[in-house]
Amino acid sequence: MRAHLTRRTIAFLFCLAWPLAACADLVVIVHPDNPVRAMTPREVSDLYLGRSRVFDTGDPATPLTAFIYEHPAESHLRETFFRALNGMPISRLNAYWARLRFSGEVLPPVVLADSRAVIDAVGRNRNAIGYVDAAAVSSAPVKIVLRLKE
Amino acid sequence: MGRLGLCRAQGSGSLSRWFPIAVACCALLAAGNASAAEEGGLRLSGFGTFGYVRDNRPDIAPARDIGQNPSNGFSTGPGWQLDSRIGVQLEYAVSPLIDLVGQAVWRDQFKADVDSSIDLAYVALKPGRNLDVRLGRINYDAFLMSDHRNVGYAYQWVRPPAEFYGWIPIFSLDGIDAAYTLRDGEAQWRFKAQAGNSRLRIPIGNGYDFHAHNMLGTSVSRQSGSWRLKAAYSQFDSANEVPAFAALHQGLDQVVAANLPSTSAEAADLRRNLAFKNAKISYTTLGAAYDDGVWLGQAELGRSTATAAVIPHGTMAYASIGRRFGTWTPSLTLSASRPGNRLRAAANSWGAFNATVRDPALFTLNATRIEQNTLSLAARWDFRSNAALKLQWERTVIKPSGYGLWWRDTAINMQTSRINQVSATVDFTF
Repeated sequence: MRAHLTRRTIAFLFCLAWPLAACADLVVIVHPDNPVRAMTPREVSDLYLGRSRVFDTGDPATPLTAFIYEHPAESHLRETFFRALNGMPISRLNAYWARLRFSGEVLPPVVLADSRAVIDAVGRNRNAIGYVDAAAVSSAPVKIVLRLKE
Repeated sequence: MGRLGLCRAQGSGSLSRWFPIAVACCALLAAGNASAAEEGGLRLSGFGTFGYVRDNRPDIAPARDIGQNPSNGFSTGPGWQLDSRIGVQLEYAVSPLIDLVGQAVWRDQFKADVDSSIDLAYVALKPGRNLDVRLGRINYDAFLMSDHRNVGYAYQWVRPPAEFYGWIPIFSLDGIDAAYTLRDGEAQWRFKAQAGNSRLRIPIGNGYDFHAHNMLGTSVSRQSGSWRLKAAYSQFDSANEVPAFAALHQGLDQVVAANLPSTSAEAADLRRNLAFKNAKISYTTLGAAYDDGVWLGQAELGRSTATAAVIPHGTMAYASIGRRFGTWTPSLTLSASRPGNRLRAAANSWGAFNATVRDPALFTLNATRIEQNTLSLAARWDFRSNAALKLQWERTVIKPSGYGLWWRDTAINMQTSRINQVSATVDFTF
């Protein structure tokens, strides 16, 4: 686990140090008006695993509830995202969410069809967060808060 | 015959009766999913298991939990009823802070009607960033797995260890719960409390509508890295009596009223320990689960108490370890259960009441004791991202007068029995 985290951290720092086109295969996006400027992989992972439902805006008095967008269960993008984010293979992730969802503990994120749909939805919703293929963002009206290398 | 050696109960429903309806519902839901609102709103999903099990004993039949009743008694042969089930869930997000959730599960149970098939029907409120409140029919959250026992895809084995979960008949309660979550560095703590009532039909005699009232439960869980820990306590009152015990109770009351030295005192003690009504039951558990992506393990230790000895209670535990090899995950599990009540024997001669009252009372009291160990080997193959095949072999040793989890020929009550079961299931979500 420690070795895995170290690799992930190195990859994260590596991506921050290089131009976007060189290595940022996936990006986590929020609405431009969202006060959050950057997120750590753990913060994003907590949202996508149902362990948190608010953005850490730095002001506990005004929590911003996150509206989380997800990709279809069997999409390649989703598999790539979670391997890069926290190392979870898709079958383990699905079993994890089966427990949370059907026990009623947490309901899973809303699923949208593809990166285009996620970008459009995030661009319309100040509370939204999503992840997309970096190449799909370009001039889209969204803010990148995390880059992950495939 | 049967668990209490009483008359064979006639189930008011079975999985086979509900199965065509369930399949039709699944087809409708699959169609509905495609048109689900893209940005929240109404969502449909589900889970299911198709399972097959066979064992090597013609005189014993297993039950996944004590709410089940083999359709043809203890001589039931190989079959798919034990583990097969389908659940569908409907979720509606009224707003980011309010959800409505309904879940129906069609599974083999003694009483399978609309009410007993609805496991969840609640409104969830999020009044604060760390607070969740649910009102309605909510799942019973007393153990590590008590709130998702039906979701086979969420765990490694064919079924949760019977020694631990087989005698916990409550799946949901009508009431309220509240959970408060806080972060402590990498760890997430969750404090939860539940209150409500529950009811279910248990196959004793022609059926017993078990009413659990004044249910109160509290739990603390901690998730950090690969570890998930949970400690919980819950209690409830049994509100009503078993109709099949009426004649026995009447006989015991007569002996008590006769005011015979020693005999009446013994009868009074038996009467008190054979009363479901007003009995108080509690569960205390500690659980731990580990999953680092390669190795996984899970263990629970539980103790239950009951003020009436006839209600199954005692100490139960299991430990399981597994390792992932690609899409395959073999695992090994050991589980055991020990009764909290001693084996009762006659202390006095009751004369003419020996055969009609004393012996049936002692038999009934001893028949619900659970004393057994199981070793199981299981393998899970995730052949799709939302489906897994599981194969499991398990060997159970049942001690004399420890058959509370089994339908059996009562002639073997005082023997040690060994039973091998082989199971195959396909678990999936949709």
